[in-house]
Amino acid sequence: MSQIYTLEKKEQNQSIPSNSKGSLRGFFSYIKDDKTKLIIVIGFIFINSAANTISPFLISKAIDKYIAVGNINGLLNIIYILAGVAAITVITGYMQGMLIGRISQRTLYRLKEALFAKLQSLPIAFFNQNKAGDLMSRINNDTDKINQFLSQWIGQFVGVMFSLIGIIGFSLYLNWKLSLVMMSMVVFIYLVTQFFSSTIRKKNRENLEVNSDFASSLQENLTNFKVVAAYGKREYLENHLDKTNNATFKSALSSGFANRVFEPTYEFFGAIALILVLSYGFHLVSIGDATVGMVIAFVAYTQRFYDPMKTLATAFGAIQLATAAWVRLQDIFSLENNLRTDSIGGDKTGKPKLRLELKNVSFSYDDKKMIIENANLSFEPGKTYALVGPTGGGKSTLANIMAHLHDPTEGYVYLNGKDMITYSQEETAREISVILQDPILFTGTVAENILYANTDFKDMNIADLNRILEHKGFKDVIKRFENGLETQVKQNGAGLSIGQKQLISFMRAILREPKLLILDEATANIDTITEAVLNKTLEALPPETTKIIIAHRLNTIKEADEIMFVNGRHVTPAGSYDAAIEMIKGAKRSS
Amino acid sequence: MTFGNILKAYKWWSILTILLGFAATGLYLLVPKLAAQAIDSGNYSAWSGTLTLLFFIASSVFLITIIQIFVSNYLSEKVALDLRAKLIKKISRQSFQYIDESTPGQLQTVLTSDVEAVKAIIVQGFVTLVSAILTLVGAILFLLNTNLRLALYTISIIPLLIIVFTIIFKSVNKLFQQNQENIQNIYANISETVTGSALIRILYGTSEEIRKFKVINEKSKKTGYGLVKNFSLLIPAIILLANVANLIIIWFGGKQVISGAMSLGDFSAFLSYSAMFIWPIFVLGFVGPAVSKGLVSLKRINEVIDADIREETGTYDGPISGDIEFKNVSLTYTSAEGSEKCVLKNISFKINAKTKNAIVGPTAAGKSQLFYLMSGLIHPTEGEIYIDGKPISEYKIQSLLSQIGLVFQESILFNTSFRENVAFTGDIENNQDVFNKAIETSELTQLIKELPEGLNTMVSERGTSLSGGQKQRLMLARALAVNPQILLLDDFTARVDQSTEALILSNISANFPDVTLVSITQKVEPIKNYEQIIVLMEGEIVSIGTHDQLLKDSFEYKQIYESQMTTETLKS
Repeated sequence: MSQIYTLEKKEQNQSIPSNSKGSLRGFFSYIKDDKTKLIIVIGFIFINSAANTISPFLISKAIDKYIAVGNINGLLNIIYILAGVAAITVITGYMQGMLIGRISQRTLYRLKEALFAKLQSLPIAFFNQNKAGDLMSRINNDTDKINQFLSQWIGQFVGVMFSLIGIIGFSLYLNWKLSLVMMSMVVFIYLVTQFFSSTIRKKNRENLEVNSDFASSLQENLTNFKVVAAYGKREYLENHLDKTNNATFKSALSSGFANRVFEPTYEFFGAIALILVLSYGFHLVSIGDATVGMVIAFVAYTQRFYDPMKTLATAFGAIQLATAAWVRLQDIFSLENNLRTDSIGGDKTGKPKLRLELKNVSFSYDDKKMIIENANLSFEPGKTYALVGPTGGGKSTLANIMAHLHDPTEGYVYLNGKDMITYSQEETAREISVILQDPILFTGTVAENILYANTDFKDMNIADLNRILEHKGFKDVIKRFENGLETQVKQNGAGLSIGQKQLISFMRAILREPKLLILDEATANIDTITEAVLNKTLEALPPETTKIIIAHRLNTIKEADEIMFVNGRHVTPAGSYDAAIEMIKGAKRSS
Repeated sequence: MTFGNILKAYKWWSILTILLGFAATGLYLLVPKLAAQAIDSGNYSAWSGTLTLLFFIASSVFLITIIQIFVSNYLSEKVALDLRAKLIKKISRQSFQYIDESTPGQLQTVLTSDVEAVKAIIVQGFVTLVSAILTLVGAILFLLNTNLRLALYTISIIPLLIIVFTIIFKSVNKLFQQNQENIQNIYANISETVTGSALIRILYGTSEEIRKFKVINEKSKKTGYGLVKNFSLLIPAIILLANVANLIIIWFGGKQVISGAMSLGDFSAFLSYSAMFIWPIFVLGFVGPAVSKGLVSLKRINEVIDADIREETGTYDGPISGDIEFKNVSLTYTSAEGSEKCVLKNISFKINAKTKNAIVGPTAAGKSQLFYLMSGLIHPTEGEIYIDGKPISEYKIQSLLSQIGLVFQESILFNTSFRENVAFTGDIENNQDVFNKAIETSELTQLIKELPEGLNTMVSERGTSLSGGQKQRLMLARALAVNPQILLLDDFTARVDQSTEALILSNISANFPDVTLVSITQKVEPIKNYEQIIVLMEGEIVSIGTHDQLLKDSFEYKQIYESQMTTETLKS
């Protein structure tokens, strides 16, 4: 069972669902909570557009009825009314903008939160298969495209709809024949929109993907800048980024153009409609079925009908972009964590007195190459085990299976006699701690890193933490940091040596007092004297703690109760320390 | 670089964009005029000519607009392309320290989101802005011409408008700045959860990560709210002032008409011109946000482009033989808070070409910094480093680096092919021999054979598809592929098993016999026969000598050695 979590690019020809409503449907669940507010907004928009329509009417009345006849009092009255209407326009305009803006900010917030939570629910395999830059791009840029659509167009959309409905009603009432002629072009507008939207959405999707590539490429090269600088490969970097820059340019050219062609197209159809209205209107006039005044009115209506359509055209471009972005977010939302958990199920044949047991465990990343084959291992409480073997032999993979970062492809893993899958992630984290080969630190202080996700010592102050760590034998270790526990750690631990990072990881794991502690090359970059200090702190762990040590350095594993030899799929007990050394000397590296 | 400067580079494209925009708008305005003419002519049987003309105009407008969109789109993308290219050029020449301190998240935001914002000025605002300003000036002139006094009353709202614009844009400037910083923080946060994904799952830090993200997300929302508050004030404020202008005209104008000081015709003309005066103000309100955001971003872009760069002064680009000398080198870091931290104190030593040397010492002694100094990644605060007796600053750094192979402690791999990871540019035709030797020496031959596509196999981002030891060997191959005169190994065998390590070390001696080797290491066993061992502690050299000398003279070295005695059982 291989686990595929790649957010693959859509094939060039693969069509994207053309029904924009269908694919955006899931998105509306993120606005759901603001439904009442949306209705209120629509109310404000309605009042606002009504107030806007009424002012010109009032002004023309002021001219005809008062100014023309010299009625100052009447004029003053209408000025008061106009001022009142203006006040309503201003207030409703403000409320409308404010509410829509806040709704879209909240929606954006909920969307990002849901995406991030989704990422956190996915297993390690997902992160091994995807690029940081791509995820950044999706969480930031793609959600922003959706927000843009929401904040800029929802209000316009509703306003446009109101005026369209008003014009349609009014013109149908005046002359339904001319009205139908006026609206006839909508059919073409609809058809053209339908016809092109899938292509345009595809262009947008491509553009978002290219942007993602650019972001990934930047992320990687900037993170790895040290190598670029130390190897004098600045030209290579520049060329490489220039290449992605050009690709971004090319795809943005076509998607940017595509998103904006709706507007002149709608305008064009509006002009055609005007010509049709004129010719049909003139025809009606000539046969005496309509007055010239009617035709004049319809010329105005046609313009007032198609001008808002132009606004819709711009909105359609934004919709295409938002939909393409939404599809990319869907890629993440649709992934499920394949790591098995079943609190009541699982295999019941584990031996209860063992801390950890592997039964017939095999593992492969891709169903092709076996990394571990049929491993049967037992780990008792309180004992120390060492896993040795050549590089690339599968030791870290084995550790990952033990910590339930991966499910075994075949076989069972039992923790305290119970099938590993019956434990929740949280329970597993309480029982097992792994000090990873590549130490990981987060932005913050050394203390925050040591206390990371530690529920027992949550919010402990520095002085107390210092005392506890000193008590556990880390006094000299803490001194290795410039400002002790308060030393600042930069993003990804930049500025600290691996050795220092390993020291922090070590303290972090020991402080949790896990039942099972796995040390994967935990001290590989630490000098042997400090290592001896660390080994002492291991002895201070509760006696029932089981320790599994993966190491190349032989003195690291000297104290082990049992040594296991891992090489090229097979795990064999090595027996004594001397026997293990013989095996190591004779081993052939598998890769 | 101002926005004007940017457009200047595309003078003709900009002018063309504007002209086409005007042409389309002008032609479009003809449509209702022609329609009116057709109606006015009263000859309803002979209208087909006018309608044909109308159709012709509509088609021309369509075509011109399409061309205009194409041109303005090209212009905006070209501006973005060039801005990015400028940034890339600058960044790829920046010092390691600069990149390290500005954090990848920041540069990433500048290159993506900020460039987008500048582009948006052109897409959303540029043409509209120009035509709005022209219309505004025209309308004001018309108003002044029609009725001076009334015009002055009406124009009096302009200073008020300027005040409103100034207040709002001042406060949004800060918010936009904050907005870009929020994006940066989200980038950094996601980057950490991706690199830290394994640990987060092991420690069940999920809720902690979600909490952290919530803080940033919450802050973004707050900034968003601030922007919303300002911009939802902007348009109503403009509407308010527009209405005030209207009321002024109707009241004072109306009074003038009633008193006979103005004709009704002039009055209605004045009213319609005032609409022409108000419309551009609205437009400014609509495009204003995009413009102010773009200008904030342009400032951020300029900060990167104008950042100081350490100019290379060296000119020597000949071959080196590999003598290295440190003379009284000190390295001090000044933290952001201003406190100074001395990493290396008065370091002096000499390494002879073609010899094997080791640097040992406890964690955080400053060992890696020595390598960073030798390869010019960082520069000493005091003292000088000499290669072949010449100060490093006299070398052309590119040439020097092409003769030094540095293997970092941490695995730094690229998401490209195996081949490209070893020979950076992928261009190995001239150096096939060295390339093969590098692969062989690093004991990678077997691994590559097993890879599905051999050397063309892609290495996944962060090297997640490889084991720790494999990554380190790949990094070694990269260093050897430059056929270095000086090979700097930073704890490179930490994750390689002892037999492989021994094999690799003897491979290096055999295949690269003339290389000057400097190895930072925790293991004493492999360096026993090295010509020189430097013991570094807390940034200072405590002793220098051969293994045997140090065992006699250096208490610290002896202590390190004794802590590793057990490894003696495994002699290679």
